[in-house]
Amino acid sequence: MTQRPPASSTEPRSTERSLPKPSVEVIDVASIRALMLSEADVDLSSASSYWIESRVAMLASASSVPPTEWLGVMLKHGSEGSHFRELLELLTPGEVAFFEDESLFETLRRSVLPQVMDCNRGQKQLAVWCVECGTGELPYSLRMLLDERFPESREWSIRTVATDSNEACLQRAKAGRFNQLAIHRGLPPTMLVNYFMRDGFEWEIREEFRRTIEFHSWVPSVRLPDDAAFDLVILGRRLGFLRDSLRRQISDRIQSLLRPGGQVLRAQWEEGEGRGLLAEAGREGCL
Amino acid sequence: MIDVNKLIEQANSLTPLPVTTVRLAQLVCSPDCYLEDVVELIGFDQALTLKLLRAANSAASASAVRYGTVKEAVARLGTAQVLAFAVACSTRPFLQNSIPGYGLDEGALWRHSVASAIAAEVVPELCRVEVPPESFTAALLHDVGKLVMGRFLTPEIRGYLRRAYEVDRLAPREAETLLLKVHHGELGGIIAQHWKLPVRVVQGITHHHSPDRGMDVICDVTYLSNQIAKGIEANLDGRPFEMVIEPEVADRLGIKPKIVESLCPIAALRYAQVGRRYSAV
Repeated sequence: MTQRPPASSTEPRSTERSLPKPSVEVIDVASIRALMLSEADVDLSSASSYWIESRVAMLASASSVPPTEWLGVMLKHGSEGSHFRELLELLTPGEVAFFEDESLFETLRRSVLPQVMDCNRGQKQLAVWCVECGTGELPYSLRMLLDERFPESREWSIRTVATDSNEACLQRAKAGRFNQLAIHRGLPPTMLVNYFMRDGFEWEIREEFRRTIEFHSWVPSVRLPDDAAFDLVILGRRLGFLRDSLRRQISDRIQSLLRPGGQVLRAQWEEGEGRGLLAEAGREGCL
Repeated sequence: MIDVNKLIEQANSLTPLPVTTVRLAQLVCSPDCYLEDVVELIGFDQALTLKLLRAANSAASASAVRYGTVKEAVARLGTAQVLAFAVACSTRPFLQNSIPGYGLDEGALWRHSVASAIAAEVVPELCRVEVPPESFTAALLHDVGKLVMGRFLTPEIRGYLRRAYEVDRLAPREAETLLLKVHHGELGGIIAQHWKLPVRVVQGITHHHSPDRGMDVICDVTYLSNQIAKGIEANLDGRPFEMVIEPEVADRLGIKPKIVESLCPIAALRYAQVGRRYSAV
């Protein structure tokens, strides 16, 4: 979920240093920031230290070792070790709620989807790509929006591709299973009835609907497929963690894949967890 | 840090509410709610009947008249207050407990819950929109999620939460969401759903810190009741308290800024008058 911008996002970090630490262990946050930037292009420079420390503590707790010991192993093995991947995933969360970004979905509903569909009315075909789709709420929300608000789209051939660089997220998205919290966050009750089936404490997206989305693993920094062409591309929140220059490169490359009349939108994202800064959703020339 | 699925599991493992309370909630919140039906239902539950009569006749009810029947008691209190009272009877054993994870001593959450429920009784007198009957129950249970969340808040996690409050000035809901991926309002909503309480009660509890997201007047009323309850408690403790509510909430409820300042004293007076009603629980 997104956070409201705190009033003191520019609070000097010295305030934080003066506060009591939760444990006697001192976690080397600077090394984590440096490693994530050099090995994964993830910029955590503005993320609050306590938030980074808490993610390390979480993983250390799961392994039943002290945080400093866990971190020592992680720093020793660098990006080659499994600890690095685990921490990277926690530091770049991809989960959002269904329809969480109201302005994005309002823009889609009011202008972008009508425009894109107008451009493709002849062929009745549409190709959509959700980049860094997280645990699936974004592409499923998009398909529900199309189905509910643009019923003519049911007669169209719509290809929806959803990619994510995090394998665990991707598997959850593919499974289409969501817990009570995910369901309660922003999903209108009618859509819950129309597109989900309850299974214990979880809800599963209906099979026929789940099949409308192709899920693939794709890391934004790698080359794009040559034959890809899309009418609409939506950039998920995890891209917001990447360093600026890389984001621009990816943006340029993605825009080269657009068909005539195609559009790129950016989901609302935080510039980094713990900073609380939100960027406005909207059409983007670049990231 | 916290396994969200374990939280959900524990929220769904709390002792269910008595059948009478669940049916009463459905009845009171139905558009076809008749006094006779409520009276008949309560009449089947001897324990609730006795407590209700005691509450209606308590000095706190500020009446010299004695109420000898359930019908008289329900007519005296109103069906919505009777529902809140019945829910209070069922949940007091939980709400009375201390919650070290939130720094709440034994009885602290209960007192805050009762103050909120009574504050919710004051709100309709001062706002211009119709307040749903579920509001008192939602206000009573708005912090119920702390019961489960509190079990998971280790000193280490509390340390991180404290730093989120102090470094980034995050509100509790924001800090919990940032660090734990869930806040106590959401967890309370799951508990209310598990207890088969009406959807609007679930909404009011879930969004008591984020009424804009709830898109229902019950969320505004629950939010406001929580704020007023804090004022009541400060008043009782002799602490200074500045009542601040989100302007959007005041707008939606049609409450003028001048009235906001008088909400706490009015509610504190009401609490002094009827607070003991809940002692009969």
